[in-house]
Amino acid sequence: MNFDNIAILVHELAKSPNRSSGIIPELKSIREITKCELKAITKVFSKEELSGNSLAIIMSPTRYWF
Amino acid sequence: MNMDQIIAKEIKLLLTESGLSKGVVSIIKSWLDSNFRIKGRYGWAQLTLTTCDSTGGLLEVGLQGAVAMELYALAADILDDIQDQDNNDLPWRKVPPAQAINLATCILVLSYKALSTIANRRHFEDVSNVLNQMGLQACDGQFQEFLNDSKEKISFEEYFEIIKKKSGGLTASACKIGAILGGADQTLVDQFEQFGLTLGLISQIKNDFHDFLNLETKSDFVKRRKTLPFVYLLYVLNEIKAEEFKRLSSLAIIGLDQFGPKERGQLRELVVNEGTIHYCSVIHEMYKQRAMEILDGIPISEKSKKKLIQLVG
Repeated sequence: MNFDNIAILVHELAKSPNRSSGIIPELKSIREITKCELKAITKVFSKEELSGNSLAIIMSPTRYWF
Repeated sequence: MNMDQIIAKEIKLLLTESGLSKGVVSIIKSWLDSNFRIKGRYGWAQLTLTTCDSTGGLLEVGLQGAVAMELYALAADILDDIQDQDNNDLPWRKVPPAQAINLATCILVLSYKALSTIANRRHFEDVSNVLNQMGLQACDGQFQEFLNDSKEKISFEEYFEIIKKKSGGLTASACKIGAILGGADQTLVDQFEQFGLTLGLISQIKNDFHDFLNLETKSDFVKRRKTLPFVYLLYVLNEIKAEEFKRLSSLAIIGLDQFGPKERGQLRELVVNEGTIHYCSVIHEMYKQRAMEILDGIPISEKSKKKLIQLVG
């Protein structure tokens, strides 16, 4: 996984006032992001759109081990 | 009896036959109970037994390994909390550290005692090796974490190396032990180890995020612990914002009395506005996808897969 590139892309998207999942492929073209990584980024930002930018954490509940 | 009751009975038997005094047994029982209230009943034993069952092993065959894993994880939790000096509301933080360290050692030895009753000698040797390696890795990861506390920043790769050794190592070992005791071949054991490792990373990323702003209970931010939100913010912030973040971090180190509602608000704003929630969610999602891919390639029944998918979330 390319954590650095993902961080930059996510940061750009989060800071963009008109962010929407629609602009992700456009930003992707200037960054080295794999299809899987793009899928995860799109899913997170799409869910945010659906929840009306509530910024509710989308990490689903797993068992607490730590 | 359901699975929880069977595990509880096995632990009770182990404690009864341990020769420990009544007072010590009573404290260990109460510490196990307090852990259940927070993390659910026998999470480690359940993970070990679910894997054992998935590979065709009977519950009785996996039981000793499951109990060993449960006790080992409790001992690791106690030692971790003492070293990090957080989770002050937990019972092992309310007794003098010397007593808590002594009882954590006792629980660790009980974990090995549980293993010693494994009838199949080859399984015993393999599982002992897994447990030993897990302990060494976790200590190594923890020590790296201490060293990193005083560093200005670390890379994402360095962060993931550490959580693979600590959290990932524990969940990988639980799955590996279950698979070994279930009689799986080496390929299947390796696949379950990878699944467990990924499960640990998923869980740790979520924890890192939730603990980051939990200044009262967790010491992550106060200690400049290089958790995922911390590593991310240091990587993406521009010069001005990075200075603000460092100022807040320096204030928190002096003491939480210096870190009032205004500073807490500023920290929250940085976390929200700079995409920390998004980044943690994206990495969490990517590891979830990875876990599902691993599960796809494991030749087990659909029923077993469903149980394991539930753990991924």
